[in-house]
Amino acid sequence: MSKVEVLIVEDEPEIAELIAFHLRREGFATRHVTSGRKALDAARENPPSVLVLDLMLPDLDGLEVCRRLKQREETRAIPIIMVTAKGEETDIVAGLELGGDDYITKPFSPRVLVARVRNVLRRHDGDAPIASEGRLVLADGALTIDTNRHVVLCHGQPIELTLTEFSLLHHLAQRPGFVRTRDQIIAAVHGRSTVLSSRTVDVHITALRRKLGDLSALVETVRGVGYRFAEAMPALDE
Amino acid sequence: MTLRLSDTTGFRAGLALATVLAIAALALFVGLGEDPTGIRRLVAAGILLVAGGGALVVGWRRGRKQANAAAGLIAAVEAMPHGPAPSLNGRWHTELTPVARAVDRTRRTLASRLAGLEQASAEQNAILQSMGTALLAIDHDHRLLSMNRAAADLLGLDARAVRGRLVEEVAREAELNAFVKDAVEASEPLTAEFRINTGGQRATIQAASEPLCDEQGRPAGLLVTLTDITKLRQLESLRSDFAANVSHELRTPITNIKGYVDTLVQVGVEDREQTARFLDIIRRNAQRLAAIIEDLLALSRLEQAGLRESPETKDTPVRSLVREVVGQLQSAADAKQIVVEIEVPEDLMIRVVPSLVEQAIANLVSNAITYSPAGTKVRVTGAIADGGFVEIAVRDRGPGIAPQHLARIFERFYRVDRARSRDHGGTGLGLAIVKHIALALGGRVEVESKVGVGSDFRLLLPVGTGVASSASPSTP
Repeated sequence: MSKVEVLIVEDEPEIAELIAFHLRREGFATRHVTSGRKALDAARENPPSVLVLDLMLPDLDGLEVCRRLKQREETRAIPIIMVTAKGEETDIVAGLELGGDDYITKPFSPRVLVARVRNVLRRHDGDAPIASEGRLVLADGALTIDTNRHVVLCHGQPIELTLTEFSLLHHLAQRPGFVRTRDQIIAAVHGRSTVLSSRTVDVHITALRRKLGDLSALVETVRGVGYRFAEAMPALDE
Repeated sequence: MTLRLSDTTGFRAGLALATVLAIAALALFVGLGEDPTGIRRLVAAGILLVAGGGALVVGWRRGRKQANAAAGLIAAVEAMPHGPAPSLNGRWHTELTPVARAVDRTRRTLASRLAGLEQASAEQNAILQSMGTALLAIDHDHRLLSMNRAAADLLGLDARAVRGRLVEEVAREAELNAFVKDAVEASEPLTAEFRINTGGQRATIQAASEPLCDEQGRPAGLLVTLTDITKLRQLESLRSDFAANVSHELRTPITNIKGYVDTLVQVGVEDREQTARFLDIIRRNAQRLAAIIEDLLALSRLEQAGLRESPETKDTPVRSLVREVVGQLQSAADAKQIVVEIEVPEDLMIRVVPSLVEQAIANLVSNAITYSPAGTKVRVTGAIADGGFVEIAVRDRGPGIAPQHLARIFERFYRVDRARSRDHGGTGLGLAIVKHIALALGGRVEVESKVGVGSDFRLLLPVGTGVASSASPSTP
């Protein structure tokens, strides 16, 4: 079996070397390019398993690279982890909405980066938390979402959720550890229950958390970006 | 015989004469019986005719005067709303005189009120006209009621010519017209931001609408204000570019230091060579961070210092300043076989803080050496320039700077080529420091460059002024 290859797009050579060093130690193969255009060429010629993409690049910026890769059929499926030194939530939100899969901010811990790479790969291999027959079992069995019957069990006890709250929870729980922006949440929930605005998303989230009781921490706020369902992995916060 | 009498006396005399004649005629008629021949009758009839005719003439003249006076009054009253009318006083000595006086008083009061109103209106108009904000009054059918000068300029219209015409017709700006349409429909204040063409350029406009009401409080249309916020947006983008650059410049070395330290601590690297390499990366990045912080502090000091007098200010020979700097950079120049030529007249003096000017020249010369190909020449010249300035120029035969970068190279952290400047270990602040030193000393910095030919940086500083120019009175 060939090694899983990560394409590192980073114009700072020492940071690229650091990322490559850790990924190789974990058994990944790495390639490194220093500009947006080179990244597009490299991804089209020989699509990698994952792209680690710095957003601030000479020539073509990372957001544009992300947009173009997600537009093209042959590169759309490549998971993208954005790396940003800007620390600006607007870039992260824009990147996620362009189809970026996850992000880390500089300065980052190399171990977090490796964990994120593993995470997007697992997600793309279809290793989602779906157990069987439309049932999502989460938080070591403490939370069960039965999508067929529209029932949520907290520690085995059913809780009453509105249609919107259910849709929100279900949408986030499908991708634990991945941030969803408010607009992404609206797009996913829209039509299924009711029309949402970005402020009402917050209101529904608050109501949902109250009903989840001691499991409320599973729905995490990512300041300035959106919400995510807590990752079932060891603590990864920088 | 003509009677030169005043209107009233003449009138009364006329009446008296007519009465006397009438009595005389009557007396003649009484004695008719004694004169059947009719001679006396004829005389009496004649006298009666004369008396009647005289009374008629006097009465007619009197009536005409009255009518004239009344007509004059009416004209004067009618003229009142249109502005100050000539005084009525002393023109009519008739029974209408008191009326005329009353009218005259009213006229004067009215005239002064009108003048006040006109002044207030002129003031308001002047304010509206000279406002930087463009104002448009629009009725419910999208017709332009009025606009001020700023609006006419912004939209490139003749305010008088377009009055009463549809906004859509005269302003061919889809977004503006859509805004007007929305605002009319909304009947509540609206705001929007869009871009329009003005004077051949795209301008970012902030539009706000406010419903207009007539005196009875009924909706009458809209007041639309258009503010050109192009410069503001440009500044914001400059600021955010700067913030992003600072963030990138600071986080990159920090990310490296933190990442490599974590790696050494957590992972542990067995390979000695690898460990040494990682430690070297950490050291380099720490140095880079230190250099950036040093330069940022220098800039911040320059901004604070402004034009303050410094005890270090003194008359300094320019040649010794340049020699000092070139001496410090000699080894860097030698390493690339670059010859630095100095051409500064011995007697060229400048009154400045020497260390500041040295730093500015050093940054320019160091850039010249860094970016010039090996074996080329760098020339540093000094001369008196126009307007009491000393010009210190640094010319190189380097790669030159493309025009699109030239205007921005004095911005903090602006990089023509990030990779290249990183290789050279620059902080991205050198030219910003040069610029701020020049400004702090009351001078400026200029650049000319041609790709493939070289660059020419000129530092222009006031000969005897600089920091000392704005000195407090305590300066000797």
